[in-house]
Amino acid sequence: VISRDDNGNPGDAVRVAEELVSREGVALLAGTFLSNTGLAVTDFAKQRRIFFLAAEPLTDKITWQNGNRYTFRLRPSTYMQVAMLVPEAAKLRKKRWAIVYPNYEYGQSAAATFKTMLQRLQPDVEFVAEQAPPLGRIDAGPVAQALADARPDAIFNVLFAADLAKFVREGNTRGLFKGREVVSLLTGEPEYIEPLRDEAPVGWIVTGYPYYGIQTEAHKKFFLAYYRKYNEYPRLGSVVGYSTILSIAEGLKRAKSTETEKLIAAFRGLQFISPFGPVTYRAADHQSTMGAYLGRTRLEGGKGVMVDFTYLDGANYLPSAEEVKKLRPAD
Amino acid sequence: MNASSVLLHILTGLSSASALFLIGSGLSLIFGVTRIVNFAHGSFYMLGLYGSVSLAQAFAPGPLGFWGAVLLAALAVAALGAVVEMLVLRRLYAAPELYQLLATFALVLVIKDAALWAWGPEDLLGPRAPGMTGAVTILGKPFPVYNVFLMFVGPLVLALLWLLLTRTRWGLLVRAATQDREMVGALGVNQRWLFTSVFALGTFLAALGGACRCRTSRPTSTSTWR
Repeated sequence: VISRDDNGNPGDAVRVAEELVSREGVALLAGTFLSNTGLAVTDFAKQRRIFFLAAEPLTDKITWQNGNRYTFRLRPSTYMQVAMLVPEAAKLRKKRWAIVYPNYEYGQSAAATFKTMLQRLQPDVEFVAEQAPPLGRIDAGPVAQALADARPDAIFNVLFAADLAKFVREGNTRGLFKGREVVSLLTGEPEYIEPLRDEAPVGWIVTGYPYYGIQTEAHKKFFLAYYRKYNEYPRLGSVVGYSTILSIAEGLKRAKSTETEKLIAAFRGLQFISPFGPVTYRAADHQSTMGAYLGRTRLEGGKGVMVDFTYLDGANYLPSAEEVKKLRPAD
Repeated sequence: MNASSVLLHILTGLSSASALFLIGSGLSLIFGVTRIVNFAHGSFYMLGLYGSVSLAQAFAPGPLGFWGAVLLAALAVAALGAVVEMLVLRRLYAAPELYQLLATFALVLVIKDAALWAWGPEDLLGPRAPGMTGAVTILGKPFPVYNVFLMFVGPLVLALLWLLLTRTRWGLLVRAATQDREMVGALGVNQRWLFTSVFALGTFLAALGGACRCRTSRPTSTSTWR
Protein backbone atom coordinates (compact mmCIF):
# COMPACT_ATOMS: atom_id res chain seq x y z
CA VAL A 1 0.00 0.00 0.00
CA ILE A 2 1.42 3.35 -1.07
CA SER A 3 -0.21 6.36 0.55
CA ARG A 4 -0.24 10.05 -0.30
CA ASP A 5 -1.80 13.04 1.47
CA ASP A 6 -4.57 14.72 -0.53
CA ASN A 7 -4.38 17.83 1.71
CA GLY A 8 -8.17 17.92 1.84
CA ASN A 9 -8.12 19.66 -1.50
CA PRO A 10 -9.54 18.35 -4.82
CA GLY A 11 -6.67 19.72 -6.91
CA ASP A 12 -4.01 18.05 -4.78
CA ALA A 13 -6.07 14.85 -4.66
CA VAL A 14 -6.09 14.54 -8.44
CA ARG A 15 -2.41 15.43 -8.64
CA VAL A 16 -1.33 12.73 -6.17
CA ALA A 17 -3.73 10.23 -7.77
CA GLU A 18 -2.06 10.90 -11.12
CA GLU A 19 1.35 10.47 -9.49
CA LEU A 20 0.29 7.15 -7.94
CA VAL A 21 -1.03 5.84 -11.23
CA SER A 22 1.67 6.97 -13.62
CA ARG A 23 4.78 6.95 -11.47
CA GLU A 24 4.08 4.26 -8.87
CA GLY A 25 2.00 2.16 -11.26
CA VAL A 26 -0.64 1.22 -8.68
CA ALA A 27 -3.35 -1.28 -9.62
CA LEU A 28 -6.16 0.56 -7.88
CA LEU A 29 -6.92 3.66 -5.82
CA ALA A 30 -8.68 3.83 -2.46
CA GLY A 31 -9.39 6.43 0.18
CA THR A 32 -10.05 10.20 0.30
CA PHE A 33 -11.86 11.92 3.14
CA LEU A 34 -13.81 15.03 2.14
CA SER A 35 -16.70 14.81 -0.30
CA ASN A 36 -15.23 17.24 -2.79
CA THR A 37 -11.88 15.44 -2.95
CA GLY A 38 -13.65 12.09 -3.26
CA LEU A 39 -15.72 13.44 -6.13
CA ALA A 40 -12.60 14.74 -7.87
CA VAL A 41 -10.95 11.32 -7.68
CA THR A 42 -14.21 9.67 -8.83
CA ASP A 43 -13.97 11.70 -11.98
CA PHE A 44 -10.26 10.96 -12.26
CA ALA A 45 -11.00 7.22 -12.06
CA LYS A 46 -13.42 7.57 -14.95
CA GLN A 47 -10.96 9.52 -17.09
CA ARG A 48 -8.05 7.19 -16.41
CA ARG A 49 -10.16 4.01 -16.29
CA ILE A 50 -8.74 2.90 -13.00
CA PHE A 51 -10.54 1.20 -10.12
CA PHE A 52 -11.31 3.53 -7.20
CA LEU A 53 -12.79 2.60 -3.83
CA ALA A 54 -13.97 5.76 -2.06
CA ALA A 55 -13.60 5.17 1.69
CA GLU A 56 -14.76 8.16 3.75
CA PRO A 57 -16.46 10.71 1.45
CA LEU A 58 -20.21 10.79 1.88
CA THR A 59 -21.72 12.67 -1.02
CA ASP A 60 -24.43 10.83 -2.95
CA LYS A 61 -22.93 11.98 -6.22
CA ILE A 62 -20.05 9.51 -5.96
CA THR A 63 -22.37 6.57 -6.51
CA TRP A 64 -25.32 8.32 -8.18
CA GLN A 65 -25.28 11.49 -10.29
CA ASN A 66 -21.53 11.37 -10.96
CA GLY A 67 -21.17 7.63 -10.48
CA ASN A 68 -19.18 5.58 -12.94
CA ARG A 69 -18.28 1.95 -13.49
CA TYR A 70 -14.83 2.39 -11.95
CA THR A 71 -15.90 3.81 -8.62
CA PHE A 72 -17.21 2.01 -5.54
CA ARG A 73 -17.92 3.49 -2.12
CA LEU A 74 -17.73 2.00 1.37
CA ARG A 75 -19.29 4.38 3.89
CA PRO A 76 -23.05 4.92 4.12
CA SER A 77 -23.78 7.97 1.97
CA THR A 78 -25.28 11.28 3.06
CA TYR A 79 -28.63 10.10 1.72
CA MET A 80 -28.51 6.89 3.78
CA GLN A 81 -27.50 8.60 7.02
CA VAL A 82 -30.09 11.34 6.58
CA ALA A 83 -32.68 8.65 5.79
CA MET A 84 -31.80 7.03 9.12
CA LEU A 85 -32.27 10.30 11.01
CA VAL A 86 -35.40 11.63 9.31
CA PRO A 87 -37.89 9.11 10.80
CA GLU A 88 -36.59 10.09 14.25
CA ALA A 89 -36.86 13.77 13.36
CA ALA A 90 -40.45 13.29 12.18
CA LYS A 91 -41.32 11.50 15.43
CA LEU A 92 -40.41 14.64 17.37
CA ARG A 93 -43.41 16.40 15.79
CA LYS A 94 -41.64 19.75 15.71
CA LYS A 95 -42.94 22.31 13.29
CA ARG A 96 -40.22 24.94 13.01
CA TRP A 97 -36.80 23.62 11.97
CA ALA A 98 -33.49 25.40 11.55
CA ILE A 99 -30.63 23.89 9.57
CA VAL A 100 -26.89 24.51 9.88
CA TYR A 101 -24.37 22.93 7.50
CA PRO A 102 -20.86 23.47 6.16
CA ASN A 103 -21.05 25.14 2.78
CA TYR A 104 -19.60 22.53 0.44
CA GLU A 105 -20.71 19.36 -1.33
CA TYR A 106 -21.42 17.23 1.75
CA GLY A 107 -23.24 19.92 3.73
CA GLN A 108 -25.38 21.09 0.84
CA SER A 109 -26.48 17.63 -0.16
CA ALA A 110 -27.27 16.62 3.44
CA ALA A 111 -29.39 19.73 4.01
CA ALA A 112 -31.27 19.30 0.72
CA THR A 113 -31.99 15.60 1.36
CA PHE A 114 -33.15 16.34 4.90
CA LYS A 115 -35.60 18.98 3.71
CA THR A 116 -37.17 16.83 0.99
CA MET A 117 -37.44 13.72 3.14
CA LEU A 118 -38.84 15.45 6.22
CA GLN A 119 -41.40 17.31 4.11
CA ARG A 120 -42.57 14.00 2.70
CA LEU A 121 -43.13 12.54 6.19
CA GLN A 122 -44.42 15.73 7.79
CA PRO A 123 -45.99 18.06 5.21
CA ASP A 124 -46.65 20.90 7.68
CA VAL A 125 -42.96 21.35 8.54
CA GLU A 126 -41.46 24.84 8.24
CA PHE A 127 -37.77 25.62 7.69
CA VAL A 128 -37.29 28.92 9.46
CA ALA A 129 -33.54 29.44 9.25
CA GLU A 130 -30.56 28.12 7.34
CA GLN A 131 -26.93 28.89 8.10
CA ALA A 132 -24.14 27.70 5.83
CA PRO A 133 -20.75 28.76 7.21
CA PRO A 134 -17.64 27.89 5.16
CA LEU A 135 -16.00 24.56 6.00
CA GLY A 136 -13.44 24.88 8.80
CA ARG A 137 -13.91 28.62 9.15
CA ILE A 138 -17.14 29.02 11.08
CA ASP A 139 -17.68 32.22 13.03
CA ALA A 140 -19.71 30.36 15.60
CA GLY A 141 -20.99 33.28 17.68
CA PRO A 142 -23.04 34.96 14.96
CA VAL A 143 -24.19 31.59 13.53
CA ALA A 144 -25.55 30.46 16.90
CA GLN A 145 -27.10 33.89 17.43
CA ALA A 146 -28.83 33.91 14.04
CA LEU A 147 -30.31 30.44 14.65
CA ALA A 148 -31.57 31.49 18.08
CA ASP A 149 -33.15 34.62 16.58
CA ALA A 150 -35.28 32.48 14.25
CA ARG A 151 -36.79 30.76 17.32
CA PRO A 152 -36.89 27.22 15.85
CA ASP A 153 -38.42 24.24 17.72
CA ALA A 154 -35.67 21.94 16.54
CA ILE A 155 -32.31 22.08 14.77
CA PHE A 156 -30.74 19.84 12.15
CA ASN A 157 -26.97 20.02 12.31
CA VAL A 158 -24.54 18.85 9.64
CA LEU A 159 -21.39 20.52 11.04
CA PHE A 160 -18.50 18.31 12.11
CA ALA A 161 -14.95 18.48 13.48
CA ALA A 162 -13.65 21.97 14.39
CA ASP A 163 -16.82 23.70 13.23
CA LEU A 164 -18.95 21.46 15.43
CA ALA A 165 -16.79 22.14 18.50
CA LYS A 166 -17.03 25.90 18.09
CA PHE A 167 -20.74 25.77 17.32
CA VAL A 168 -21.51 23.60 20.37
CA ARG A 169 -19.48 25.84 22.66
CA GLU A 170 -21.13 29.04 21.45
CA GLY A 171 -24.55 27.40 21.35
CA ASN A 172 -24.19 26.18 24.93
CA THR A 173 -23.09 29.59 26.22
CA ARG A 174 -25.82 31.40 24.31
CA GLY A 175 -28.54 28.99 25.38
CA LEU A 176 -29.32 27.94 21.79
CA PHE A 177 -29.96 24.28 22.65
CA LYS A 178 -32.08 24.92 25.73
CA GLY A 179 -35.52 23.39 25.24
CA ARG A 180 -34.76 22.49 21.61
CA GLU A 181 -34.35 19.11 20.02
CA VAL A 182 -31.26 18.66 17.88
CA VAL A 183 -30.84 16.05 15.16
CA SER A 184 -27.26 15.83 14.04
CA LEU A 185 -25.28 13.95 11.40
CA LEU A 186 -22.04 12.18 12.43
CA THR A 187 -21.84 13.82 15.87
CA GLY A 188 -21.73 10.44 17.63
CA GLU A 189 -18.45 9.54 15.95
CA PRO A 190 -15.61 9.47 18.49
CA GLU A 191 -13.54 11.72 16.21
CA TYR A 192 -16.01 14.54 16.75
CA ILE A 193 -17.65 14.00 20.13
CA GLU A 194 -14.59 13.14 22.23
CA PRO A 195 -12.67 16.40 21.71
CA LEU A 196 -15.68 18.17 23.24
CA ARG A 197 -15.11 16.38 26.56
CA ASP A 198 -17.54 17.63 29.22
CA GLU A 199 -19.03 20.18 26.83
CA ALA A 200 -20.44 17.43 24.61
CA PRO A 201 -24.08 18.01 23.74
CA VAL A 202 -26.72 16.06 25.66
CA GLY A 203 -29.83 14.49 24.19
CA TRP A 204 -28.97 15.02 20.52
CA ILE A 205 -30.17 12.38 18.07
CA VAL A 206 -27.06 11.42 16.14
CA THR A 207 -25.42 8.90 13.86
CA GLY A 208 -22.04 7.64 14.98
CA TYR A 209 -19.88 4.86 16.29
CA PRO A 210 -20.24 3.84 19.97
CA TYR A 211 -17.11 1.66 20.14
CA TYR A 212 -17.60 1.22 23.91
CA GLY A 213 -20.90 -0.61 23.65
CA ILE A 214 -21.06 -2.76 20.52
CA GLN A 215 -21.40 -6.37 21.61
CA THR A 216 -21.30 -8.20 18.29
CA GLU A 217 -18.67 -10.88 17.76
CA ALA A 218 -17.23 -9.19 14.66
CA HIS A 219 -16.77 -5.90 16.43
CA LYS A 220 -15.30 -7.40 19.62
CA LYS A 221 -12.68 -9.17 17.57
CA PHE A 222 -11.78 -5.99 15.73
CA PHE A 223 -11.78 -3.86 18.87
CA LEU A 224 -9.48 -6.16 20.82
CA ALA A 225 -7.07 -6.60 17.94
CA TYR A 226 -6.95 -2.85 17.39
CA TYR A 227 -6.46 -2.13 21.06
CA ARG A 228 -3.68 -4.66 21.39
CA LYS A 229 -1.85 -3.23 18.41
CA TYR A 230 -2.16 0.51 19.03
CA ASN A 231 -3.05 0.66 22.71
CA GLU A 232 -5.93 3.01 22.07
CA TYR A 233 -9.57 2.70 21.13
CA PRO A 234 -10.56 2.74 17.44
CA ARG A 235 -12.23 5.78 15.87
CA LEU A 236 -14.78 5.44 13.10
CA GLY A 237 -11.96 6.22 10.71
CA SER A 238 -10.19 3.09 11.98
CA VAL A 239 -13.21 0.95 11.12
CA VAL A 240 -13.50 2.57 7.70
CA GLY A 241 -9.79 2.17 6.96
CA TYR A 242 -9.77 -1.44 8.09
CA SER A 243 -12.92 -2.31 6.15
CA THR A 244 -11.57 -0.59 3.03
CA ILE A 245 -8.42 -2.68 2.96
CA LEU A 246 -10.29 -5.81 4.01
CA SER A 247 -12.81 -5.46 1.20
CA ILE A 248 -10.04 -4.82 -1.32
CA ALA A 249 -8.33 -8.02 -0.17
CA GLU A 250 -11.62 -9.90 -0.61
CA GLY A 251 -12.15 -8.31 -4.00
CA LEU A 252 -8.66 -9.25 -5.20
CA LYS A 253 -9.18 -12.81 -4.01
CA ARG A 254 -12.43 -13.02 -5.92
CA ALA A 255 -11.03 -11.38 -9.06
CA LYS A 256 -7.81 -13.43 -8.95
CA SER A 257 -6.28 -10.53 -10.83
CA THR A 258 -5.51 -6.82 -10.49
CA GLU A 259 -6.97 -5.93 -13.87
CA THR A 260 -9.47 -3.10 -13.60
CA GLU A 261 -12.31 -4.84 -15.46
CA LYS A 262 -11.94 -8.03 -13.46
CA LEU A 263 -11.87 -6.04 -10.22
CA ILE A 264 -15.08 -4.25 -11.17
CA ALA A 265 -16.77 -7.57 -11.90
CA ALA A 266 -15.52 -8.98 -8.60
CA PHE A 267 -16.67 -5.97 -6.53
CA ARG A 268 -20.20 -6.07 -7.96
CA GLY A 269 -22.10 -7.98 -5.28
CA LEU A 270 -18.95 -8.60 -3.24
CA GLN A 271 -19.71 -9.60 0.35
CA PHE A 272 -17.41 -9.36 3.34
CA ILE A 273 -17.68 -9.21 7.12
CA SER A 274 -16.84 -5.74 8.42
CA PRO A 275 -16.54 -4.93 12.13
CA PHE A 276 -20.16 -3.72 11.83
CA GLY A 277 -21.35 -7.01 10.31
CA PRO A 278 -21.89 -8.34 6.78
CA VAL A 279 -21.61 -5.77 4.01
CA THR A 280 -22.34 -6.07 0.29
CA TYR A 281 -21.25 -3.81 -2.55
CA ARG A 282 -24.43 -3.38 -4.56
CA ALA A 283 -24.10 -4.13 -8.22
CA ALA A 284 -26.68 -1.48 -9.15
CA ASP A 285 -24.86 1.60 -7.85
CA HIS A 286 -21.55 0.35 -6.41
CA GLN A 287 -22.62 1.55 -2.94
CA SER A 288 -21.81 -0.70 0.01
CA THR A 289 -24.56 -1.58 2.46
CA MET A 290 -22.46 -0.66 5.47
CA GLY A 291 -24.73 0.97 8.04
CA ALA A 292 -24.35 3.31 10.97
CA TYR A 293 -25.33 3.48 14.62
CA LEU A 294 -28.18 5.74 15.61
CA GLY A 295 -28.64 6.94 19.19
CA ARG A 296 -28.91 9.81 21.63
CA THR A 297 -25.94 11.55 23.16
CA ARG A 298 -25.33 11.76 26.89
CA LEU A 299 -22.55 12.83 29.23
CA GLU A 300 -20.92 9.98 31.13
CA GLY A 301 -17.81 10.39 33.26
CA GLY A 302 -17.01 13.79 31.77
CA LYS A 303 -17.30 12.83 28.12
CA GLY A 304 -19.95 12.47 25.48
CA VAL A 305 -21.24 9.01 24.62
CA MET A 306 -24.09 7.53 22.60
CA VAL A 307 -26.83 5.69 24.47
CA ASP A 308 -29.87 3.62 23.39
CA PHE A 309 -28.16 3.05 20.10
CA THR A 310 -29.09 0.56 17.39
CA TYR A 311 -27.27 -0.53 14.27
CA LEU A 312 -29.15 0.35 11.12
CA ASP A 313 -28.20 -1.74 8.13
CA GLY A 314 -27.51 0.47 5.15
CA ALA A 315 -29.36 -1.91 2.82
CA ASN A 316 -32.69 -0.79 4.31
CA TYR A 317 -32.02 2.88 3.61
CA LEU A 318 -31.06 2.67 -0.03
CA PRO A 319 -33.46 3.21 -2.90
CA SER A 320 -34.16 0.22 -5.11
CA ALA A 321 -32.03 -0.73 -8.09
CA GLU A 322 -34.62 0.71 -10.52
CA GLU A 323 -34.70 4.11 -8.82
CA VAL A 324 -30.93 4.23 -8.69
CA LYS A 325 -30.69 3.44 -12.37
CA LYS A 326 -32.53 6.68 -13.13
CA LEU A 327 -30.02 8.64 -11.03
CA ARG A 328 -26.87 7.20 -12.53
CA PRO A 329 -25.55 8.21 -15.92
CA ALA A 330 -25.27 5.32 -18.37
CA ASP A 331 -21.78 3.79 -18.54
CA MET B 1 -33.90 40.27 13.26
CA ASN B 2 -34.66 42.95 15.83
CA ALA B 3 -32.70 45.63 17.66
CA SER B 4 -31.41 43.34 20.39
CA SER B 5 -30.01 40.77 17.97
CA VAL B 6 -28.37 43.52 15.93
CA LEU B 7 -26.71 44.79 19.11
CA LEU B 8 -25.56 41.29 20.01
CA HIS B 9 -24.08 40.76 16.57
CA ILE B 10 -22.22 44.06 16.90
CA LEU B 11 -20.85 43.03 20.29
CA THR B 12 -19.72 39.64 18.94
CA GLY B 13 -18.03 41.45 16.08
CA LEU B 14 -16.28 43.81 18.50
CA SER B 15 -14.91 40.95 20.57
CA SER B 16 -13.42 39.14 17.58
CA ALA B 17 -12.09 42.41 16.22
CA SER B 18 -10.39 42.95 19.54
CA ALA B 19 -8.60 39.60 19.38
CA LEU B 20 -7.63 40.26 15.77
CA PHE B 21 -6.23 43.63 16.86
CA LEU B 22 -3.76 41.86 19.16
CA ILE B 23 -2.46 39.82 16.26
CA GLY B 24 -2.52 42.70 13.80
CA SER B 25 -0.72 45.11 16.12
CA GLY B 26 2.16 42.65 16.46
CA LEU B 27 2.39 42.27 12.69
CA SER B 28 2.42 46.00 11.99
CA LEU B 29 4.91 46.62 14.80
CA ILE B 30 7.35 44.18 13.21
CA PHE B 31 6.76 45.54 9.73
CA GLY B 32 7.10 49.14 10.88
CA VAL B 33 10.53 48.65 12.39
CA THR B 34 12.16 45.84 10.44
CA ARG B 35 10.35 46.30 7.09
CA ILE B 36 9.88 42.57 6.93
CA VAL B 37 6.52 41.21 5.80
CA ASN B 38 6.29 38.41 8.27
CA PHE B 39 4.36 35.55 6.68
CA ALA B 40 5.02 33.41 9.72
CA HIS B 41 3.07 35.70 12.04
CA GLY B 42 0.04 33.42 11.80
CA SER B 43 2.21 30.46 12.76
CA PHE B 44 3.21 32.20 15.99
CA TYR B 45 -0.46 32.83 16.58
CA MET B 46 -1.07 29.10 16.16
CA LEU B 47 1.79 28.20 18.51
CA GLY B 48 0.25 30.52 21.10
CA LEU B 49 -3.03 28.62 20.75
CA TYR B 50 -1.47 25.17 21.02
CA GLY B 51 0.95 26.19 23.76
CA SER B 52 -1.69 27.68 26.00
CA VAL B 53 -3.97 24.66 25.59
CA SER B 54 -1.18 22.22 26.48
CA LEU B 55 0.04 24.27 29.42
CA ALA B 56 -3.45 24.82 30.78
CA GLN B 57 -3.97 21.05 30.72
CA ALA B 58 -0.65 20.46 32.46
CA PHE B 59 -1.24 23.04 35.20
CA ALA B 60 -3.71 22.69 38.00
CA PRO B 61 -7.17 23.79 36.95
CA GLY B 62 -8.21 27.16 38.32
CA PRO B 63 -7.72 30.82 37.45
CA LEU B 64 -3.98 30.82 38.24
CA GLY B 65 -3.20 27.79 36.09
CA PHE B 66 -5.32 29.11 33.25
CA TRP B 67 -4.01 32.68 33.06
CA GLY B 68 -0.53 31.46 33.89
CA ALA B 69 -0.73 29.15 30.90
CA VAL B 70 -1.87 31.98 28.62
CA LEU B 71 0.94 34.27 29.73
CA LEU B 72 3.62 31.60 29.80
CA ALA B 73 2.69 30.33 26.33
CA ALA B 74 2.90 33.87 24.95
CA LEU B 75 6.29 34.42 26.63
CA ALA B 76 7.65 31.11 25.34
CA VAL B 77 6.55 31.94 21.80
CA ALA B 78 8.12 35.39 22.16
CA ALA B 79 11.40 33.73 23.11
CA LEU B 80 11.11 31.49 20.08
CA GLY B 81 10.43 34.58 17.98
CA ALA B 82 13.63 36.18 19.28
CA VAL B 83 15.63 33.07 18.39
CA VAL B 84 14.11 33.00 14.89
CA GLU B 85 14.96 36.65 14.42
CA MET B 86 18.57 36.10 15.45
CA LEU B 87 19.06 32.96 13.37
CA VAL B 88 17.08 33.70 10.24
CA LEU B 89 15.80 37.20 9.77
CA ARG B 90 18.89 39.05 10.93
CA ARG B 91 20.66 37.80 7.83
CA LEU B 92 17.91 39.01 5.55
CA TYR B 93 17.37 42.68 6.36
CA ALA B 94 19.57 43.76 3.49
CA ALA B 95 18.30 41.08 1.10
CA PRO B 96 15.59 41.76 -1.51
CA GLU B 97 11.98 41.48 -0.30
CA LEU B 98 11.47 38.26 -2.21
CA TYR B 99 14.00 36.42 -0.04
CA GLN B 100 12.32 37.72 3.09
CA LEU B 101 8.98 36.45 1.84
CA LEU B 102 10.51 33.09 0.97
CA ALA B 103 12.21 32.73 4.33
CA THR B 104 9.14 33.60 6.39
CA PHE B 105 6.97 31.40 4.18
CA ALA B 106 9.39 28.54 4.80
CA LEU B 107 8.94 29.19 8.52
CA VAL B 108 5.18 28.77 8.05
CA LEU B 109 5.68 25.32 6.56
CA VAL B 110 8.24 24.28 9.18
CA ILE B 111 6.12 25.39 12.12
CA LYS B 112 2.97 23.85 10.63
CA ASP B 113 4.54 20.42 10.29
CA ALA B 114 6.26 20.73 13.67
CA ALA B 115 2.88 21.41 15.28
CA LEU B 116 1.38 18.42 13.48
CA TRP B 117 4.23 16.28 14.77
CA ALA B 118 4.05 17.58 18.33
CA TRP B 119 0.30 17.78 18.85
CA GLY B 120 -1.07 15.28 16.34
CA PRO B 121 -3.94 15.68 13.92
CA GLU B 122 -6.80 15.27 16.40
CA ASP B 123 -8.90 18.28 17.35
CA LEU B 124 -8.11 19.88 20.67
CA LEU B 125 -10.60 21.98 22.55
CA GLY B 126 -9.09 24.51 24.90
CA PRO B 127 -10.46 24.73 28.42
CA ARG B 128 -12.75 27.63 29.15
CA ALA B 129 -11.57 30.49 31.32
CA PRO B 130 -12.53 29.79 34.93
CA GLY B 131 -15.27 32.16 36.05
CA MET B 132 -15.99 33.16 32.46
CA THR B 133 -17.89 30.14 31.20
CA GLY B 134 -21.32 31.69 31.58
CA ALA B 135 -23.26 34.38 29.84
CA VAL B 136 -24.59 37.79 30.77
CA THR B 137 -28.06 38.80 29.69
CA ILE B 138 -28.12 41.76 27.34
CA LEU B 139 -31.58 42.96 26.30
CA GLY B 140 -33.01 39.61 27.32
CA LYS B 141 -30.52 37.56 25.34
CA PRO B 142 -27.51 35.64 26.66
CA PHE B 143 -24.07 36.90 25.64
CA PRO B 144 -20.88 35.00 26.60
CA VAL B 145 -18.91 36.64 29.42
CA TYR B 146 -15.67 35.72 27.72
CA ASN B 147 -16.58 37.83 24.70
CA VAL B 148 -17.10 40.79 27.01
CA PHE B 149 -13.63 40.16 28.43
CA LEU B 150 -12.15 39.95 24.92
CA MET B 151 -13.72 43.29 24.03
CA PHE B 152 -11.72 44.94 26.80
CA VAL B 153 -8.43 43.13 26.18
CA GLY B 154 -7.88 44.90 22.86
CA PRO B 155 -8.18 48.47 24.17
CA LEU B 156 -6.14 47.51 27.25
CA VAL B 157 -3.28 46.21 25.15
CA LEU B 158 -3.58 49.28 22.92
CA ALA B 159 -3.17 51.53 25.97
CA LEU B 160 -0.16 49.56 27.21
CA LEU B 161 1.46 49.66 23.76
CA TRP B 162 0.88 53.39 23.55
CA LEU B 163 2.49 53.91 26.95
CA LEU B 164 5.41 51.71 25.96
CA LEU B 165 6.00 53.51 22.67
CA THR B 166 5.57 57.08 23.86
CA ARG B 167 6.76 57.03 27.46
CA THR B 168 9.85 54.79 27.50
CA ARG B 169 13.31 55.10 26.04
CA TRP B 170 12.84 51.82 24.23
CA GLY B 171 9.68 53.16 22.63
CA LEU B 172 11.55 56.27 21.58
CA LEU B 173 14.18 54.16 19.85
CA VAL B 174 11.55 52.06 18.11
CA ARG B 175 9.81 55.16 16.82
CA ALA B 176 13.11 56.57 15.70
CA ALA B 177 13.96 53.33 13.89
CA THR B 178 10.64 53.38 12.00
CA GLN B 179 11.41 56.92 10.82
CA ASP B 180 15.06 56.57 9.89
CA ARG B 181 16.99 53.44 10.58
CA GLU B 182 20.40 54.60 9.44
CA MET B 183 20.25 57.72 11.58
CA VAL B 184 19.46 55.66 14.68
CA GLY B 185 22.43 53.44 13.88
CA ALA B 186 24.66 56.48 13.37
CA LEU B 187 23.71 57.72 16.83
CA GLY B 188 25.24 54.60 18.32
CA VAL B 189 22.12 52.59 19.08
CA ASN B 190 22.57 48.83 18.79
CA GLN B 191 20.00 48.07 16.13
CA ARG B 192 20.43 44.34 16.42
CA TRP B 193 18.97 44.13 19.88
CA LEU B 194 16.33 46.68 19.04
CA PHE B 195 15.12 44.57 16.13
CA THR B 196 15.25 41.36 18.13
CA SER B 197 13.22 42.87 20.94
CA VAL B 198 10.65 44.33 18.55
CA PHE B 199 10.28 40.98 16.84
CA ALA B 200 9.88 39.25 20.20
CA LEU B 201 7.22 41.75 21.26
CA GLY B 202 5.39 41.27 17.96
CA THR B 203 5.33 37.50 18.29
CA PHE B 204 4.34 37.87 21.95
CA LEU B 205 1.26 39.82 20.84
CA ALA B 206 0.44 37.24 18.16
CA ALA B 207 0.73 34.39 20.64
CA LEU B 208 -1.27 36.29 23.25
CA GLY B 209 -3.98 36.87 20.68
CA GLY B 210 -3.92 33.16 19.89
CA ALA B 211 -3.97 32.14 23.54
CA CYS B 212 -6.89 34.46 24.24
CA ARG B 213 -8.86 33.27 21.25
CA CYS B 214 -8.56 29.58 22.01
CA ARG B 215 -11.50 29.90 24.40
CA THR B 216 -13.73 30.77 21.49
CA SER B 217 -11.94 28.94 18.75
CA ARG B 218 -9.76 25.90 18.78
CA PRO B 219 -6.34 25.13 17.42
CA THR B 220 -5.84 23.35 14.15
CA SER B 221 -2.56 22.83 12.44
CA THR B 222 -3.93 24.90 9.58
CA SER B 223 -4.92 27.89 11.70
CA THR B 224 -2.60 30.35 10.06
CA TRP B 225 -3.50 33.76 8.75
CA ARG B 226 -2.06 33.40 5.35
